[in-house]
This record gives sequence, structure tokens and C-alpha cells, in this order.
Amino acid sequence: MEKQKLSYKDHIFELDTYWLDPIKDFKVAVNHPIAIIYPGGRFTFQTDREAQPIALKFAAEGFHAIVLHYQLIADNTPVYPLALQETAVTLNWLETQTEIHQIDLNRVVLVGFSAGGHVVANFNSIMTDPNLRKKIIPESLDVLPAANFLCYPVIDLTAGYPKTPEHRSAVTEDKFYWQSQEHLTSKAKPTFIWQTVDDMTVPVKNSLLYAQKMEQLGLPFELHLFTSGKHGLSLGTRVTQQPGNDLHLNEAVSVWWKLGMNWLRLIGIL
Amino acid sequence: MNTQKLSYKNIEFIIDTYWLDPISDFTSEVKHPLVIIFPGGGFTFHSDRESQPIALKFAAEGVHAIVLHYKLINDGKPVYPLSLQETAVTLNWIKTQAQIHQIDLNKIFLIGFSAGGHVVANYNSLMTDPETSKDIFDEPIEVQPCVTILSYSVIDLTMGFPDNNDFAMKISPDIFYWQTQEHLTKHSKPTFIWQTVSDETVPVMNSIVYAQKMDLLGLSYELHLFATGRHGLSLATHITEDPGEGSYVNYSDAKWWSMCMNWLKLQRVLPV
Repeated sequence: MEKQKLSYKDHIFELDTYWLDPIKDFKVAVNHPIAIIYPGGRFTFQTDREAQPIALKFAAEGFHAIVLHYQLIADNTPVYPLALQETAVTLNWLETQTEIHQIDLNRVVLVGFSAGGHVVANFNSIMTDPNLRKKIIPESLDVLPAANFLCYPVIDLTAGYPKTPEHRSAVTEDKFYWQSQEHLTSKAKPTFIWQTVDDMTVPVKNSLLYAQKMEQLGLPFELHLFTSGKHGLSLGTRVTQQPGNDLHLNEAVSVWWKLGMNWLRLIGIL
Repeated sequence: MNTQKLSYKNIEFIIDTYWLDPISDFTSEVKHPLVIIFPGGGFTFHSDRESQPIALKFAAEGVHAIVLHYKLINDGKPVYPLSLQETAVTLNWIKTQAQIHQIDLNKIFLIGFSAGGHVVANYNSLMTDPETSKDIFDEPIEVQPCVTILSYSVIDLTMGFPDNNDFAMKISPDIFYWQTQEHLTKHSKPTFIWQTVSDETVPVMNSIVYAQKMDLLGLSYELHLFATGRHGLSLATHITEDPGEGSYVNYSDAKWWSMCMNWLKLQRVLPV
């Protein structure tokens, strides 16, 4: 893993990059898809349980991977619009890396967990539409994601998470960014959504709202709502189990990874 | 398989029964769960693709199985309320068979496909609540299902299937029976729902509105909406493939079966 600093205007942010090396005895260059990962952490931190383990799983499937340390709630700086601008900068930067790293820019996938899912959902709603996007960044956006993963995402800041108005306002005072489903357009990308119905942190209604809006707009999606499992399962396997916390192990729910890979095959990314 | 005739108020209907035999060298008696299967067929027939293959899959998991040939519209008489009354009669009859066939009456469940899913969804909404069920079935229902399974189910007759009002009126002139999600109550049972988003026969919004209403009421459910696949996949394997119709085979969607078995374990219907 290598750290990379990027900036939007004067604001500096960081990526973790996991590049696949070229296989020298291949006769032609193989371009790889790339996953950009947004770990969760209540908009106040980024959990490692949803960072490197996810990057390595994608790497094992032949993806380059990036963990984006998106803007968190910080001294008087809200998450939005900065988190969306950071994502745009990262996507444009990928274009400058294609020669070095054999990236297939037509197969960029955003993967958001919990709070990170809110950023991905908003990006998919707002930033894939040129008319909405130009209000957020004046620069052109040359690379767009082809698909998204939303893993137990926060979708709508008024649908049960955050629990307090103060927390919600700290994410952003600008209500425009609160309800990510409301800005979905015909330009939004295919999305794989999964959550557990008994999620005690982010109500499952969040996933239902996004899927329902996608369905109304005729956008491609896949939705898996497993009956039982705690919030923040990540892979649901030993790899992401906090030592001793058996609630982090959930065989039934861990199927999401395979379902997700099947879905990527279906939409032509794998 | 045996065929059994039952009746509600002199109106006869037929069920197919698939009984597991007791294993005689077991040292104590083992009671089995029982599934009642409602095949689809647009309310005009019962598809064999959603009958015996499903019964045998359940039998292989240690579950007795019954295929219920519920009321269709062919004789000009409506599906409702008779199909709900037939289900209630079948449940009460199962109780009379519990000793003979070693049935665990606490582990009876319903599975409905497409049109059959509408009957199951309506049962789960209307017949699990004593207040509404007494207006439909005037005898006590002695045995209730503990969970239900809805496969690419018709939920609401105004949501794309059937595609015209006349057809909906044939299914039931009484619009009370049209929108199954509207009658869900806290008495309704945990439900496993699956469908494909690209279903061109029954719009996927049907599954979404049922799940959404269950969620609003805090009821237990599981929902899987696969991106692609045609309507009427049944097992989505070669077993239920119409010969030469490759679109009936879909190994991504075929995962619904193992996820459903996982869920039945979670609900303590199957042994963990």
C-alpha cells in the first residue's frame, strides 16, 4: 500500500492505493478495473475494518483498489460538498495514472459502507448529472464510475441516522445533501445495495428508499436485505471480526460478497 | 405423491401430499416441518414447474410438502375469498394428520409463486389476524403458519399485474382482496421475499411495497431483488428449465434457494 496526497483547491486529502502489478509473461497489456472504497465511521472516523480488508478482497478479484479518506466532520468544515469534490479530484487523477498502472477507466466502481455509503449515494445522485455537478465543481469530470456498492449505507439523514439534529447539521447545514435518493436521475449508475433488516444503527428504510427511487426511474439495481445481523459487518467473516466479537461473524450475510461479484459479472465489469 | 380431496362448504378442492416416512431405526420420534406450496399460473392454471420440483427439494431438506390446488378463475367464479378458505381448511386438516405423519404443527409454512404468492401474501395479511379472519372463515383456524415465502409474487393487483381491471375483477370483484400489503398487521408472520428487478410480468415494485409495509410495521422479513432474470424462474436450475428455454436457467438467481434455507434456519423452522 502506498499513500497518495491529492488536493482540491487548498484542501489536501489522502488516498491509500493498492496497485496490481503487470504480469510480465502476458503478451498484451491487461487493463484492470478499480474500486474506490469509502469506509464507514459515523462521519467522524474511517474504520480500518472497512478499508484494507475490502481493498485486498477486490485486489484478489483483479481490481486495483483505493481507500479514499473523505472529508469528516471537523472544526467548522462540513462533510459536503468537500467529500464529493474529493471524489471528483480522485477520478480525474486516475486518468493521469492509466499509463503507469493499466487502469480500465470504463470500469471504476465506488464502494461505500455506512456513512461512506452516503457519500457514494450522493455522488451517484448528484455528480453523474452534468447539470447538478457544475454547481459542485467548476472543472470538468473526465472519468465517471460505472457502478456502485452501497453496504448498509446511510441514504437519508432524516431517516433515522444521525439520531440528533446537531450531528446532522455537522455533516452539512445544506439540506440539499441530506436525502441522497432525492437527486437520482437517469444518469445515475447501476447500484448493488445490501443491508440487514434488524440494523440498529442505520434503519433499513434507508436502503429501501434508494432502491425504490431507482426502481421508479428504471435504473438498474440489485438489493439484498438479510433478516439478521448487526450494523457494520464488513465482510462478516473472521477477517473483519474484532477479536472476541462474535456478532461480527455472520455466515448467512457474508454471502453478500459472492452476490456482489456475480452482479459485477452480470453488468460486464468482471 | 398422493392426491387428497378436501372441501369447504361442499366445494371440493385437491391437494397433492408428499409425506416423509418415519425412519424406523431412530430411537425416538422425529417430527417434521411441513410446507404448503402455491404454484403460480396467472390465476388460470397451476404450473407444474412450481409444484413437484419444489415439493421434492423441501422433502430433501426433511420437510413434508403439500401442493395446494387453490381456486382459479376458469369457472367464472372468483379466487377470493375461496382460496383463503381452502388454505384454512387445509391447515385444520393437517392437524388431524399430525399423529399419523409426525408433523411439527409449530413449523408449518407457506410458499407462493407469482399468482400463488398473492394468495399467500393475502393469507399472511388477513388470516393471521383473528379480527379479520373471522369475517372470512367462520370456524376456528387451529394451526397457523409460522413463516411465509414469496417468490416473484403478485402483491397488489393494481401494480402492473394483471394489466387490466377486468382481469382483476375476475380474480376478485371485492377490491378488499386486491392490495395484500394494506392488510398486514402485527400478527403477520416473518416472510422471505425474492424477485428479479427485470421481471417483465410482475413489476418488482410488488415485492418492494410488501417489504416496505412489513418494515413500517416492524415485522420480520428478508428481501432479495436480483438484477436480472425472467419471471417464473422457479428453482432457476436445469430441473425447472422448460426444454430449450435457456432463460429459465440462471445460476445467480438460483442462490435464492440456499439463502432461503439459511433463513429458515434463522427462523428455527429448519434445524441449525
